[in-house]
Amino acid sequence: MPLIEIHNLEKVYTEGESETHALCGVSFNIKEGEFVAIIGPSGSGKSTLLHILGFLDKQTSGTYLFEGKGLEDYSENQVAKVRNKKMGFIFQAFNLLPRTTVLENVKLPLSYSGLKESLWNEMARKAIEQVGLSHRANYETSQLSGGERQRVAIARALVNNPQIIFADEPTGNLDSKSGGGVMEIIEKLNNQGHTIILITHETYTAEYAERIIKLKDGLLESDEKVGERRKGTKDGFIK
Amino acid sequence: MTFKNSLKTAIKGLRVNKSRSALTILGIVIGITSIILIMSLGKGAQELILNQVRGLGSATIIIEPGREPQGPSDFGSLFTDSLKDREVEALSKQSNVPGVEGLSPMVVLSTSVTFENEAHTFMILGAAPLITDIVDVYPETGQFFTDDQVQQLSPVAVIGSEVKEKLFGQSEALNQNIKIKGKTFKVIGISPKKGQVGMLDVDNSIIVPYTTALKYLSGMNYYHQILVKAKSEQVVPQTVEDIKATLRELHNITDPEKDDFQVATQEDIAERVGTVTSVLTIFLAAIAAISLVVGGIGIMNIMLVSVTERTREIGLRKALGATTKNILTQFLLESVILTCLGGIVGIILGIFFSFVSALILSRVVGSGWQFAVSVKAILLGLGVSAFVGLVFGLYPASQASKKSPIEALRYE
Repeated sequence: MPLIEIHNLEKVYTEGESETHALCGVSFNIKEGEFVAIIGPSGSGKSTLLHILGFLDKQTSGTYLFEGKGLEDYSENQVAKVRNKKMGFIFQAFNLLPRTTVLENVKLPLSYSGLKESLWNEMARKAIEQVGLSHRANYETSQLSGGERQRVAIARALVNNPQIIFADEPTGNLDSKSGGGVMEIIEKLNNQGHTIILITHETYTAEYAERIIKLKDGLLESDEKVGERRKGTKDGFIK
Repeated sequence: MTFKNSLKTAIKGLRVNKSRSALTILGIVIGITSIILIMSLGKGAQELILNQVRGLGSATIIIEPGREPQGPSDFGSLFTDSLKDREVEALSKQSNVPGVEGLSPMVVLSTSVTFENEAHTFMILGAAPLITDIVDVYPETGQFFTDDQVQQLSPVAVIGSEVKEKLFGQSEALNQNIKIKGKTFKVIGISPKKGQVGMLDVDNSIIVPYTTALKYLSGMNYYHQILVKAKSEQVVPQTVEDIKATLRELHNITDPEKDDFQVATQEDIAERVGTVTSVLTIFLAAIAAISLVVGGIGIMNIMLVSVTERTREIGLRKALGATTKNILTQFLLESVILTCLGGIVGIILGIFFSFVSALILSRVVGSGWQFAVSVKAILLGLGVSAFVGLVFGLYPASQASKKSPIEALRYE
């Protein structure tokens, strides 16, 4: 069974009289362990798609099944649990808690997980190690560079060992060097077996993935395997 | 999320903005401090007065003319001359009131008293020698007047310590003549320094035989009060009934509603004092509570601002798995912790100010003032703080919990 199944997904936003058709019937499947990039210009519907995939929003029509279940199969509290345990989120603007340490930030999903508190420090440290920030664990996030902050966000996304990691324009706020570092880590995670869905408007970033889905005006334009994948930053990370 | 963890999260949230948190709770602090202070002062005042009332002794009965006005037009009942010699005689008879050990009819006035060139205004009390049993005014120099002297309307006086100071200074007062309202009185005794005893300012009073006072000083033929000493505490209730019966018979009163006198025991007065001071204290505390409402509104305002500021944080937490209930609990706890903190600071300040007030009042009033802070007041202060936090924090917390994650994450 594919991890993600989407069939004829539609999303319409109504504001008073006006209607916006963000998604007009999108269909695709994603298997476990895949690294998929969803690419398209602004207004193409990729953010909307991401929100629906992350159970943050409900589609107007069509089906979306994650592990065989749709949003409607869960109660509100159960949805929160699914997001907590099975999904990791990385945002363009990092979205870290201000005036809080790296360790505390990474532990945040754990506090909603129902796991025993005695396990949290250990789990957080493991995730921080994976992104190479062990030496910064007790620093406040304001003391870190942009690239380091995004790495903290990745560690946070990892800490509960989720099924899938959603990355929404992860390099959007970073310079080329930091951006490269971040994509390297994401690549490494995929090699370890994590399923990655990357949203971006940059073709070069998208080419780290093994499959690119192109969206335009709410419709699927193409869905192709990448011929020559970008590996590491030996070519230099060009934006 | 466990409760303990919600608590930690809430405290963290407050710590991140320490100075704002401190300013927000100012209203609560002021409110709770006021309430603690008012309750403490109220209790102190009550104790002070009750101690004076207890000074009268538990076997004391007080008869006063007039009765409680039944309505706005019934004011005539307050000023009556229903207690005269006739009544005193009737009440002295064992056959009428067997429980009576002795009576002291009272005449009370305030007038100018002179000695040579010194003139001052003092309280003059016309009484019987029995009064020394009820109120401890027995002279330390000289003696008190006797029943014979009362019979003879002797112009003799027992003066208080302040009276002696003001009229005589350092010189001898005993056997000197003073003029009260033009009539000459001989000083036969000087009371020791006593302060306030049973509502009487002994030091600034002059006690003379009631007969002399009635005839020469008061200009009236009725008494302001009759103090009765019962034989024992046990017979007091029966004695009260006997007194009422005797007076009713004398005045041809069949309906108790139409009594033209009031009979009160020391217990009755203590009860009345207790009620009055309690009501006053509650009233003042209620006024202080208004500042708590203002403080609560302030908290609600700041929490709303805080919620708006932290819209992104709320969206993030929800995206990471926080439920609506988690968010509601977090913000509600922040509000309650804030107010309880304010309450604790208020209680500490309230106790401090009560202590300082007690020190000051002890100097002014004498040893009668006790420093008292009841546990009840402290628990009330804490309870009220928490309640304010809950009530005024609920709306902002519910606003926070309702935010949708996407809206919140998009918020600039």
